[in-house]
Amino acid sequence: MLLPAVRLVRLGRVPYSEFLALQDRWLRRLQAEPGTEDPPRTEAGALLLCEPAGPVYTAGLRGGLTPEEAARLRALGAEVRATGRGGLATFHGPGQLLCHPVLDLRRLRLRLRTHVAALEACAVRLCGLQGLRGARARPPPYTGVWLGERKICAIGVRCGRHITSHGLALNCCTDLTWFEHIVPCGLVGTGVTSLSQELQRHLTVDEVTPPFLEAFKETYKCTLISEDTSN
Amino acid sequence: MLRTRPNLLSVHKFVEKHEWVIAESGIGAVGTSNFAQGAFRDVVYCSLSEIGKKLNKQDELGALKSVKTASELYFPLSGEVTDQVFPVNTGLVHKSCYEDAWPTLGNTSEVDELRMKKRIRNRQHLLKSESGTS
Repeated sequence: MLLPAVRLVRLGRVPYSEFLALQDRWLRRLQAEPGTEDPPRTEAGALLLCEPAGPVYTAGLRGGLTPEEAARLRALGAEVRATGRGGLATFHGPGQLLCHPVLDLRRLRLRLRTHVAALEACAVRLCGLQGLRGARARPPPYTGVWLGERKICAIGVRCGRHITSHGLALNCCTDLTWFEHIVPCGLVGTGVTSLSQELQRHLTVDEVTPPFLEAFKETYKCTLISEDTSN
Repeated sequence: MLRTRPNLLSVHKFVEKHEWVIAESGIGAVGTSNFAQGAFRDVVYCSLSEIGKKLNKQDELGALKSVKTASELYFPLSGEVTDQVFPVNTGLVHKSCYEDAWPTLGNTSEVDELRMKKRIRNRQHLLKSESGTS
């Protein structure tokens, strides 16, 4: 049986704004063509991956950071951006695997909630592959993947006209002190963690990416087609 | 077109008091007021209509449940669900996409919302009189 194909676009270490611009291009491409053949019918979209080159705090759609908080965070040397995803404030930066699947949910026959559950399952699976047992997804308002009371992976998505954007941010060797300046995802009193912190050894985004891709293919039951980054 | 339900009057009050619409170039966003979301303080479940669903005035857009109360979310205008976000922040249900005009940090959207609330209150008096005559 032919599995749906998803374009794999690995950007490596790029500024977050560049990653969002690429996401926008894919969104326009997928939203503009219901029924025409670009991308071809067997393709369900693109899996965009990067490691943010610099520190950036993001707010969700109408949620997460006041102008005063934004000013304070910029003074720390971080970028501050609003996004169209769900969820509240979070941090992205070096050491973090940022994964935005831009998928046509109709072609995968998924609902938004199932897509979210699949993202969670990818992160949980990835933790398992790295030897971390006990990773679990939690329902709102604790959306994300947790080890105990520490969040290792944040999730926030958007779906417009059946096309998803944004996705998950998995801490590999993120400098977790950046999270101290916000209430992550609006959850007072909870902690954040990373694969490196939990496993007590240094894991890079490059090291984590291949098992993550395996987890993605298994979870979404798709194949990944490499795409050069000129798109 | 209004559906008949036993609790229509109380629902309609909910619509009149607690839901607002921001309209910008014909694209609208629907939300619940601070009062309503305060009443649903411990929201444990939120469901939204699927994308593509066409809604008439007063159609059920989704549901909010807290540990103490449950209520449907009713849509004060006609339209189609085009966008969803997850997780949903309490107090906001989105009807449509802003394209490039996403609210940015530090903009005056709070002021715009207040302006729209006044406009909508007037409009909802119209809705109320419509329901009175239908």
